[in-house]
Amino acid sequence: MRILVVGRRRKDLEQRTACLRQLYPDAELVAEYDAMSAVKYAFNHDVDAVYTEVQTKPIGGFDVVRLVRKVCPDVLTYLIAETDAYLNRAAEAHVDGYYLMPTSAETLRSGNILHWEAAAPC
Amino acid sequence: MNYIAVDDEPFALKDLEEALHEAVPDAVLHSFNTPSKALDYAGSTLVNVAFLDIELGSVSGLVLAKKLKDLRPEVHIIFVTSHEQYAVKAFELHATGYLMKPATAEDIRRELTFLYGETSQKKRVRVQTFGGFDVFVDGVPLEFKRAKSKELLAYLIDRRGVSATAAAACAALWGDASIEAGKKNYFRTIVKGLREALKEAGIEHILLRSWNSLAIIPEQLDCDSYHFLDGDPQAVNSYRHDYLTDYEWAEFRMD
Repeated sequence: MRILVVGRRRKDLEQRTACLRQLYPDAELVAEYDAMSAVKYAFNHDVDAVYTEVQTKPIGGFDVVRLVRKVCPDVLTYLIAETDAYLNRAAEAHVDGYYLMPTSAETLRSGNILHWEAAAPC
Repeated sequence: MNYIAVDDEPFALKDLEEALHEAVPDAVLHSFNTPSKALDYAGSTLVNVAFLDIELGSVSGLVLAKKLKDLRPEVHIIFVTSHEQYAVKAFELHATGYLMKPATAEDIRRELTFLYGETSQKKRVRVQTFGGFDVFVDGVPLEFKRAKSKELLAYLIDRRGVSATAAAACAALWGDASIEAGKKNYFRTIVKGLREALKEAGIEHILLRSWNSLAIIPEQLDCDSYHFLDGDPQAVNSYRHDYLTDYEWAEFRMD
């Protein structure tokens, strides 16, 4: 299983990747701070899940989700944001999960604030 | 334009031929039901676009695509298949497109638009945001008297049609959103320089101005990053972590 992790802040990205490694020790984790590079990666590799911050650059997290889904239709998608301001948009986009920062292994395990049961990558 | 279509199922091949003829009536099309015949043909004749089924009997369409690319590196590959699961593999081969069967004429036209831009009305203005910012009008680089006018255009293109107020633009261009009198005048000069450059090139229509805001009209531009956002595989694969590298406000850095 391959999980793509996208975020702008090094410390958060490293910490989030470490948390996901705890949760999914057998998964291959690919971290990208450039959202366009993340999309390019997904266009060229099978990706099973993507955890992306909403405010990524040079394109936003919603674009990351949309584009990755284009080539990996079954990919699970999770958004991470500082507030719940994007929650409605996330629901409309049918993402699988929405988490508030700061994320921890526990948050990523059980802190999904979207109003349906999140599918877990495994 | 010379196209080939390859499918080992006769009815599927016929459907594809009909859709192709409807989508591009002027195209020259050769159909093959075996990979070896397609390769023999491509070995002696220039092929522009190859529409390939993925499951071709004993030979995978992915293997055929690689062999075609080895023979003709410039050929564009568009896979036509019933199976979604090959999409990623297809893009790993830098396929230009991926269509689900049955492919309609409209599907084919859309994929070919990614290859060749608007077929009905080619856009005069081409924008490069990957690997440095440049704008070309009918193939000629757009010239600016002031670097800041060019930067303002880059900023507006980055906003993809969302209008920018003077304050927002100043914050991007100078890192300071405050608009005191001196800066206001200088900003007006920058805007004037931009408008003059566009007018001289005959493309002032790409800029929308209102009382206190500016925007560009994205539909007027053939822009690499816009193609990226459309999911065009060629545009995606051409990205090298080099979006608008000339400008600090677009500079990609890790916070």
